[in-house]
Amino acid sequence: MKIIFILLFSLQCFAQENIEVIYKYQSNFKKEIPGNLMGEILSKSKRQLPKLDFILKATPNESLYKLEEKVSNDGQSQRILIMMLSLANSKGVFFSDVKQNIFIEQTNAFGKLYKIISDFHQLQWNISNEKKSISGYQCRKATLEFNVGNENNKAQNREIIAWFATDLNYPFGPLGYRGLPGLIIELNVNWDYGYILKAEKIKVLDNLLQIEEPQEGEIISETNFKKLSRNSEFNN
Amino acid sequence: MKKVFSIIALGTMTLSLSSFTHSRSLEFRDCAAEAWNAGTDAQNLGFDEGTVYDVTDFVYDACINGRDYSLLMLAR
Repeated sequence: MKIIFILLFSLQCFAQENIEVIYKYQSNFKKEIPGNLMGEILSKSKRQLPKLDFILKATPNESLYKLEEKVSNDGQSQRILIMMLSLANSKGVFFSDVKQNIFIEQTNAFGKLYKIISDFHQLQWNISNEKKSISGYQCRKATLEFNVGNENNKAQNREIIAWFATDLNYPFGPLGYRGLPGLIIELNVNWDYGYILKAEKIKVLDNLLQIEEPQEGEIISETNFKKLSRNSEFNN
Repeated sequence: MKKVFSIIALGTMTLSLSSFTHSRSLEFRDCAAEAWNAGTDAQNLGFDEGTVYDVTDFVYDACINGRDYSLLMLAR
């Protein structure tokens, strides 16, 4: 009886472990970089973003993903950084709470800080039997397809390929991609100017991890946020 | 005579003020057009609305503050 209790207690402790994951960006452009300003921004992103660390802190129930804070006093550098992060959808803070079925993206958009609220369980992943080993973890493949703007603009179609480790029982990943039965080790955002976010370090934390829901920002539903566009805001 | 001079002076002042307003307004419209074009390029390449706004806003801000955003891109 005592042994069973100890075993159950140990399993409980293991299940409650907290983790910290560092993801690194890598560009995966399928099209040539154009010779205009956008091309210059893309080239700069390709050079600069791999130098940054993106951190996911997670308990089995909650997670927070964001860029590791870098303090810069130079307003211009900060603006350029934000624009480069925007190209990789990485300028926001992403919070998940599995039990409450809440997902929040806190982001500065159209000149205002928003808290975009949606359900945690909403991504319709297609999990395949394909497997591969990444950084010593046996991973399974899952895919997801959607359009980030106008359905008629094929360039705005995205194919997401996530490789998740079933051994790591955390249903989280970078940029708010979530809901898989294991931690996303590698995320491939596949399109003309796509990128890969890959877990470089996974650290199990001994101490208690406090994950706090982002507080600031105007609350807006994901559906209403999608209706916002530069047309209305830029003409103000 | 004094009165005529005053009228001419007033007329010149009004004219220069109006051309100043006109040139400022042209400058503003150029920056807006430049920014809008950059945003449209981003949209055509397939970026989402948020990114398109960020690019538009960045170009507009650099333009009205007289900064060369291409040079800013080269900075480390």
